[in-house]
Amino acid sequence: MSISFITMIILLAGGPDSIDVSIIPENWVFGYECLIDASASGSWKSNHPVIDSTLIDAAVSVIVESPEVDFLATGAMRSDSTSPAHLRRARGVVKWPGTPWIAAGIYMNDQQPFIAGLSNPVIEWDLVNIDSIQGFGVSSGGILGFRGDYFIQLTRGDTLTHFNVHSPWMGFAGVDYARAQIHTADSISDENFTVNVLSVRGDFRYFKPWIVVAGADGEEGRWAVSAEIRDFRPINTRWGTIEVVPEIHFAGDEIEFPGSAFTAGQRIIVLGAILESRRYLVSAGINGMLDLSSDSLSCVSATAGMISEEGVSWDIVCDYYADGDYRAYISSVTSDTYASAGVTVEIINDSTRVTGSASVAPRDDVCAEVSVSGDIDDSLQPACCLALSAALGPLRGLVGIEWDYDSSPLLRINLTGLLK
Amino acid sequence: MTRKINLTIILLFLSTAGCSLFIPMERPLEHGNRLVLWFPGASSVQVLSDWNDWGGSVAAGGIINPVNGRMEKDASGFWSMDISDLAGGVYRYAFYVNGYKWIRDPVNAETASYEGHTVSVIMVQN
Repeated sequence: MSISFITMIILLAGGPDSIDVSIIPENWVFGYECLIDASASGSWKSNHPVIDSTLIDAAVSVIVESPEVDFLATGAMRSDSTSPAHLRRARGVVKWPGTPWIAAGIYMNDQQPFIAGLSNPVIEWDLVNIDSIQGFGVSSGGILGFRGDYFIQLTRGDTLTHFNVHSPWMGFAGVDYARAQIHTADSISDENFTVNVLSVRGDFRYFKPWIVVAGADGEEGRWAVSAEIRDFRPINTRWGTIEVVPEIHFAGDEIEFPGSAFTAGQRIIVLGAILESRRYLVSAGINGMLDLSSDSLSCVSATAGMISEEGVSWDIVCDYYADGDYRAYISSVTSDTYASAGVTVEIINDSTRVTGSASVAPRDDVCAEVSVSGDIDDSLQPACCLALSAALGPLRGLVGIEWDYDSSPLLRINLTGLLK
Repeated sequence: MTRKINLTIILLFLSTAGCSLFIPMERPLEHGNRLVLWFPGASSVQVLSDWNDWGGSVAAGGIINPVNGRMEKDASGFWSMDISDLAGGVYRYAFYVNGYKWIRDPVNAETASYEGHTVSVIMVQN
């Protein structure tokens, strides 16, 4: 069945010329694409390379789009899978053309829930396994610029629902609301959870508040709030600005949100300053974070980056924690059209690792890079990496060799392409 | 002893960066509302982000599509991508260079993390 399905997809992918176009409305656009990923990895044994594993993944997608329909079907074959060909992803959506419009669709391994927070998300992409999601959804939008969608899906026996509403920018504010809920088949299971998230971004001319309020149904203590004041710029010149950003991240003691935005009992206050230039490629920021609950996250962080007139790219990230831990990443790379060379220093407490790298680009779409790294202490622990990459239109290839002081060299070959 | 070496390295870098020889490059005006990365020798650069399913890697299959978020290179070595159509919200993003290297945006001071990588954050108001 799977092979016949793939065959059908490939035949359909031949475009409207291969089928009776008289039954297909003129404004339907047919497309197809084939995403191929082939990789091999191995090691160096007895003076010659040995391939230890290979993986070939090919996915053919048929796409039909029009004001009335949105159809996608992706059939895939994977060399390490027990079933040689399978339907990897599909969706069929019927839309009411014009404005306002309404759409309804069925989805398979599609429409993963995700809820953004301020910097880190309230619900991260990996909440559920994308290969396990099947369900239905309805969407609406166009009424005064508002958009909304609701999905009810089945994932490994659990019922996942998510609901999102997005407002347009209303001149002074924009509002998003999202709700995600998982009900397990066993209704009293601890795996049940609900997250409601209201995000508000406002504009009061001299400053812009961004607020994320999250809550879960049920017991007390299942709430969280993040807020930032943006666009407060005490120094604002033609050269650039310095923006002062106060933030708070508070959460109740009982929350169990799956993302990294909030942790139970969180009480964090942050004061940051960000330098941005309108004219030049330079930026810098410094943050002081105070963890009122446990002091474990209290730290001072600094970032800076610049592209100099000489073609040197600088990147600096430093964190110093209240408990005495510190880390720093400092990178400097000088580049011209055909070659680059750079040094990176990574410091984590008393460990310092230095990496030197050089690359050459004989053509616009080919780059060869070598990097050598080692610790600045007695152990040295040297490592070396050689990579040759090429990008020819929609094809990208990579050949790499990595060597660590305590292991034999590892080989990696990868070819990825999208054919349309 | 190691702390002193670390401190010396940091001070050396910072003093070199502060040297007048290192004047920041002027921002190309034509780039407007675009993400830009100076990397003239790269064979390919993509933007992986929350807005494009991290190049397709969080979609079924988990493969970074080589065309998704692909940046265009100009003659002076800048890779750029227009982001003026993004809906309002908070997005994390990183540059994916040569098909294997993740780097944050060096001219964006705001950072977050994704899958163990330090990435950049952009807040779009509209």
